[in-house]
Amino acid sequence: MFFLHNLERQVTLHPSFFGREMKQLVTSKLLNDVEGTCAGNYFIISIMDAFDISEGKILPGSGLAEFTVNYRAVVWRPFKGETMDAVVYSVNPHGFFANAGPLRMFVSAHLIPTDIKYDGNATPPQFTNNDDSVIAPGTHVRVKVIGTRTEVGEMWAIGSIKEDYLGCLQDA
Amino acid sequence: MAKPFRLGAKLHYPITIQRILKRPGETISKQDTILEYSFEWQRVTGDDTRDIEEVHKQVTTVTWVSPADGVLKDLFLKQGQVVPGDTTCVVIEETCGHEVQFQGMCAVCGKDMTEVNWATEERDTDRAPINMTHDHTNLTVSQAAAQRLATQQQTTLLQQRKLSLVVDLDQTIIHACIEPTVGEWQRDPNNPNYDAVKDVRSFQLNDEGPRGLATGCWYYIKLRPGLKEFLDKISEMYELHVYTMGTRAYAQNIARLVDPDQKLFGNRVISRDENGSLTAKSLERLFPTSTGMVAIIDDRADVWPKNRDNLIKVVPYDFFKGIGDINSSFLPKRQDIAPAPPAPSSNSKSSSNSSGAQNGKADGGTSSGMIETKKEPPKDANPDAESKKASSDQVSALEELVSMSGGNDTILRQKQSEEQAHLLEKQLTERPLLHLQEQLDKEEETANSTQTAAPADETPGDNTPSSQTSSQQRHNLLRDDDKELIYLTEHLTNLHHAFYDEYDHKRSSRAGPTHGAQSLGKLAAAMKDSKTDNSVDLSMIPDVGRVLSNLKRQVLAKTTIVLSGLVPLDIDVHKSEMGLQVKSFGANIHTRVSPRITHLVISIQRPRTQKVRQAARIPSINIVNQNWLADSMSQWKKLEPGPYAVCETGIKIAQELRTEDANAEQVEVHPADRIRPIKEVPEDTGADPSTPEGRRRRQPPGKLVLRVQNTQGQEVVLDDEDDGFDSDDEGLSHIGEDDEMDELVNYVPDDLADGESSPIDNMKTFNWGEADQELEDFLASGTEDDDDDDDGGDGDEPMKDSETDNDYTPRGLAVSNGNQRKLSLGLKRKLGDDQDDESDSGPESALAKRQRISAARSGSLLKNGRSATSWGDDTPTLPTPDDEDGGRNDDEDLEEADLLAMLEAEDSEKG
Repeated sequence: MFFLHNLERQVTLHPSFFGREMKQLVTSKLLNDVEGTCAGNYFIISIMDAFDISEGKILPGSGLAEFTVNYRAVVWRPFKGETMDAVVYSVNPHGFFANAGPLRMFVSAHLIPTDIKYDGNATPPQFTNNDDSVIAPGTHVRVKVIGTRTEVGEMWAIGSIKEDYLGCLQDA
Repeated sequence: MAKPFRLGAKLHYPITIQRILKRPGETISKQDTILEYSFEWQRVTGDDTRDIEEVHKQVTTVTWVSPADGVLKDLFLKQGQVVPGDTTCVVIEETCGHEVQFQGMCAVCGKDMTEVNWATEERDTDRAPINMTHDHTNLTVSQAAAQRLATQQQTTLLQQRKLSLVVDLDQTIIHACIEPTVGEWQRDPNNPNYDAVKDVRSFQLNDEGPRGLATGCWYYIKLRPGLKEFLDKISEMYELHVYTMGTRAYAQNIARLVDPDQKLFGNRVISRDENGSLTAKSLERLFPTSTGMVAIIDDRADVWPKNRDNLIKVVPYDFFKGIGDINSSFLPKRQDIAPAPPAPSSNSKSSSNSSGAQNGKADGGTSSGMIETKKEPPKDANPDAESKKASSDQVSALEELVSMSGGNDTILRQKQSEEQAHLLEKQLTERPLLHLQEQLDKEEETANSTQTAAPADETPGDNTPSSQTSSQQRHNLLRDDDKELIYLTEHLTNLHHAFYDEYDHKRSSRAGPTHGAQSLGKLAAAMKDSKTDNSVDLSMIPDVGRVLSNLKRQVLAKTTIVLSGLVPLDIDVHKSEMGLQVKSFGANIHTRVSPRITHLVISIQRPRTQKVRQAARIPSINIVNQNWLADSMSQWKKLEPGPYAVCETGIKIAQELRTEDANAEQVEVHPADRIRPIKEVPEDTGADPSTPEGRRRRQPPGKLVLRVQNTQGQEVVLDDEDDGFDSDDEGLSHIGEDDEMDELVNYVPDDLADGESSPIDNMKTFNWGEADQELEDFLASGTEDDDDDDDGGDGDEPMKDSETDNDYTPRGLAVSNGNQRKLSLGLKRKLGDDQDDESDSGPESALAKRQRISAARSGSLLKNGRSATSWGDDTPTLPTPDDEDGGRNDDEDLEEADLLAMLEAEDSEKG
């Protein structure tokens, strides 16, 4: 789910950047550092604006200036039970891997409807019910998240397509 | 599924069950209290200072909680029961067995598996320890799930009547390099190499990590000739898997080249990134439960320590090497570039000897006797001082990185070798010019001589100019490799048939009794038809490893082989790579020559060992060169020794040292169908090296010949050492000569002791153009003191040697440029060889002279120069095999002493 989230971050600036453009530099550094990262259990998708940049404080010893930046960002947090669309990127007998944006998820064969079976001899290898559902790398699927886990800077999810209205997206 | 749980070892037994809170059939979740129990314990109270101590018996009641979610199936305990020790107490039908886990989550229920609590001692992540997916490391499954999947796979395979085949990439089905020259050649239709490289495919790796200079470079991939047909044919019988030590990106690119439709390999590609080990491959990684239906084709046996039985070893494909044989300075690097091979060879220190053995064999299979140093050259290959420096810098930086990231030693070494490869790549960018220039030189040179430099495929003649050698090489290589894949197709077909024959036979023989009357054959046929579609009999699966072993064992059955000069002295032949392979083909290996042996396999480079002499006296023994063995093992056929035989008269003659050279020729001539122009050598022997003319004449046909010759000389000297202890039946004069030889041995590069890695390995990187020039220069000066006409400059050759020592060694010391140094080193060697050649043919009269000279030489710079500059410098930057060499050099004297002692012992034993 997407949220607009107010966040705070310390940004440091090298003395060589001190000058009139400083605020702008701080903002761009913030964008570089933060956008697209996984912060705990959510991803920072996009920074709307940095609405408050504090006075810079020179750090003793290094001479770097530290700014406390309050910014507003669109964040995305996948929830357990949430349904999302993903793109399959790898298929193996145990299930398939899919990317929902920055989130990597795995859908186990247990959580694929029983009529959709693995066919390792097809090219490319795929899960298929020999009808309208063909899950191969590149296929768009609608997946329900049944578990997530985060580590520093990374996040994974377990998905399921074993429910109504989940699975292959036909005209995707 | 129901799973029994135990009370746990850490309770205070005996315990008394007080109350049971859950009944079978109830749904329980983790950490629900299932029962309460009480236990007795003693509390000690008192006062230490007053030595008062009281013991109180206490009874405490605690709860025992469910270790798992699910339905309580069974409870083995009753209220009031006293439990004396750990026992199974409950059976719980778990809601989820967490059999498939992805990145610490159960892929079925989505729970976090890394959570640990006190309800259970077992960690959930341990339930799914097996990683069997080709392209991911973070997906693990339980033993049971793996088993199920394996069963399913095997069933599918049996239904399709297929087997699994794990295919190595580098040097097995392709040969890769990043030499930019290849690209240039490809763009230039007029280039003599154009024909050879025009079908070389290329790709760029952009998604690699920190590859330094090699970032974004082009990879040139030569598919093994006949690969398409081979794979098409084989894929009908086998499900193909790619297993490479290259990176994932590399593997996928190759797979895309080899198999653009993904029909053959599908997604069954596993690379170094997913392998888990950087030094070894393991079938268990892909087939954790059963390797019974898996065969492997790989050019290296030593990377499959656990799965030798399933392995069909392939003669390494050496395309770019072949081209580069003219520009030998390139080759090793090209070789090195293939991402996979360098890693294992540099990593497995322990197997470096065995890989040496393997190399020895590899040489047999390829077209020339000198290609043998397949895996070593990469390490010998950076003669450029600056690059060396750079590499050490890089490596150290890398070391830091790796140590920072907590990498272990193997990773470090791997990275080092990788880094080294990259640096070599950098060199490549410098080399081509050098190479082209050299080529041009050669062209000019040869244009002056008889042949024109026009590219012609069909001139494999002796005087083929180097510019043509490429096409000629290609011709040779193509022919050889075509064979290899054809043989391989045959072997794999045979294996497939043998496997399914046995399978059918087993099934029919089992079904036979029940069905009664039907004959086995009929039944088998019936089975084939009726049962292939649905019923398969997993219990009847024969083991591919066994079937393969049986097939292989028949190849050299009833053959008893003694290897000579092929396995280093300090290695147990039964444990050496070569020994293992020979034995896997059913041959017996003996260490001593006796009338029982059937074949004596000798090294081309060392034709005059004691064993040869012994064997020559026994007519029943076929004395063959190692190509016989290599080809037999490649073709799975006990080949006729004829074309490989080492002429026995030659050997006999060899016993008189005078005619050593003649013998050398004899040995050479026989594998002549593989090594080209030796025929001309005999005339040369006498006078050739002494005259610049003859020298030049010998040069153009390709360094191969010359080098073979050189090796001959060097090896021969060592062998003569053997002679000294084999003197019981040989003439006195002989002994006298031996003594001298022993002395001379001091000046022979000592790694000769090891039959596998000949010192001329280094010469592959040797700049022949310059060498020729210098050689001629000094030869020209040397001809002036021609005094002994009869014995081919026997007398003046050593003189020249001493001259050259003075001339060149200082340069070796002074010039820091690695190329130069290498060159002087090489020259020294070459001279040494020549001298030895001559000395061998020399009569007794020359003996004193030579002794004198050699004595003089002992103080010369040669030795110091060699060990101090060249070797000393080379060793640190070069990966393992060279280290070995270096070490050997350092212990030169020691080693020699050992050798002597050993030989002495052997002699006395014999006596």
